[in-house]
Amino acid sequence: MNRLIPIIQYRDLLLISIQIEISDRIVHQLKNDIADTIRIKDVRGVIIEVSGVDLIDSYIACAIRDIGQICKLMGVHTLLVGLDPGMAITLVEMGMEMQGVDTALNIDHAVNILDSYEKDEQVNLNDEIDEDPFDDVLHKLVT
Amino acid sequence: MSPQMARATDTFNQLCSALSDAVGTITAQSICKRALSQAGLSSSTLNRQQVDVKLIEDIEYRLRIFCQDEKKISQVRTQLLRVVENVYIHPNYRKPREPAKTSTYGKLCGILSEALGTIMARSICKIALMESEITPAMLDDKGIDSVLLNNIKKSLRGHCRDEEKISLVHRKLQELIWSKVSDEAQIDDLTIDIIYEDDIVTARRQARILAQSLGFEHTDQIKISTAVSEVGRNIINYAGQGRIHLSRYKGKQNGIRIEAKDEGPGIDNLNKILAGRFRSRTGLGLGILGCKRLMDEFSIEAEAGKGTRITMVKYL
Repeated sequence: MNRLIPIIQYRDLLLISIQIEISDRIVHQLKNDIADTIRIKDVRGVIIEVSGVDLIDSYIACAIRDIGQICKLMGVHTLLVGLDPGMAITLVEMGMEMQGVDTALNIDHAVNILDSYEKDEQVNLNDEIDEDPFDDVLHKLVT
Repeated sequence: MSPQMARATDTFNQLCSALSDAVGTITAQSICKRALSQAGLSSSTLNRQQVDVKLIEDIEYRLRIFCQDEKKISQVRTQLLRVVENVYIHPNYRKPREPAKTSTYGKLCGILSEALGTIMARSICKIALMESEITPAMLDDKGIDSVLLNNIKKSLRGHCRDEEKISLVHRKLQELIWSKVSDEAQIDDLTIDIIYEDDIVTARRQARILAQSLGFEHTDQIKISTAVSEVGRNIINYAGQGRIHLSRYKGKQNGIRIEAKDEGPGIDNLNKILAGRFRSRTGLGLGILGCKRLMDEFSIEAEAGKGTRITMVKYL
């Protein structure tokens, strides 16, 4: 079956912009497509842009949460972007919880957030290098 | 000079003097003349013809070439509309295109005059109509759309500070839209068969269109279509097929009524669901509970084996 929602790779990000009224079938397919694409391509973040969606009901919310959790298990961050205020209010009033999915106001913010995750990881990497015993040897040699 | 001639130059002069607030007298006159000749009018026939919004728009467009001061332009616009007012209420010439009091335009002005003076109310109406590119005559056919409504509300806020009056006007505007909608009986009542999964999308789209035409705000439209989507999904998942009935609700408060009916197995753990202790396989277990939270009235009949009937009402 052909993909109805395009999954676009931009550098090391996957951009998914949903601009149609989505039925359950499409949501289900999207979930599988994203998981497959992450496995094949080398990405560090998934951005799901939902400004064109007509509504987010419990099934779609659940699917987005699932996508977030699937991606997390595969080591990729997911960000939900462009949520309409009316939809946000509806989600809150219905009492839906969206654990595991970070949100951002727009794609710029989303990219910044993903960059900051990347930096955090690099800092961790540097910390490990500092503790490398080779440094001490080098230090002694120099002095 | 014949008396008619004199009156004709009156209107022309009024237009010119309105313009001369922003530009020099000579420029004002030449702007007026060019606008008139563009519209196929002469200064002497101006009074017999109605000064229409198009002419005013044309004048304003020409004015912008000479004057960049937005404040002055808006002043001039108000002045020009006042001139139009004078022509409208001129006893000899009001008949041909003056909208009747019973028309939508007349009602609109009447509502606005609750908060403001009559002339101010009319000019707000006219500016709003101009900005939404609708003429008063078109209003009866086209109805009040959300763009026009927003324009009116915006300019009302600019002229009136009394919150109570503003909310009164808002309520009356809503009622006007409401009465307009009730005339169009075909969208009043709608039944959608839910047989396939894609019917859910159709149902929620229709619900949103109906909610919009009934005058619900954006957020409420989303709430209503979300609720319809939830009950639609319940029908597909648990009963296989059923139908959703959308209609206008008229009671103490106006609103929209949604009825979802199926001949499925019913719901046996209803109390558990409504208490929020239920998790479904596919969703968050929030379908029915979510609907209850989103709607103002909610009732469910779901005896095991006898099918399910959910009735919901959202007030305007």
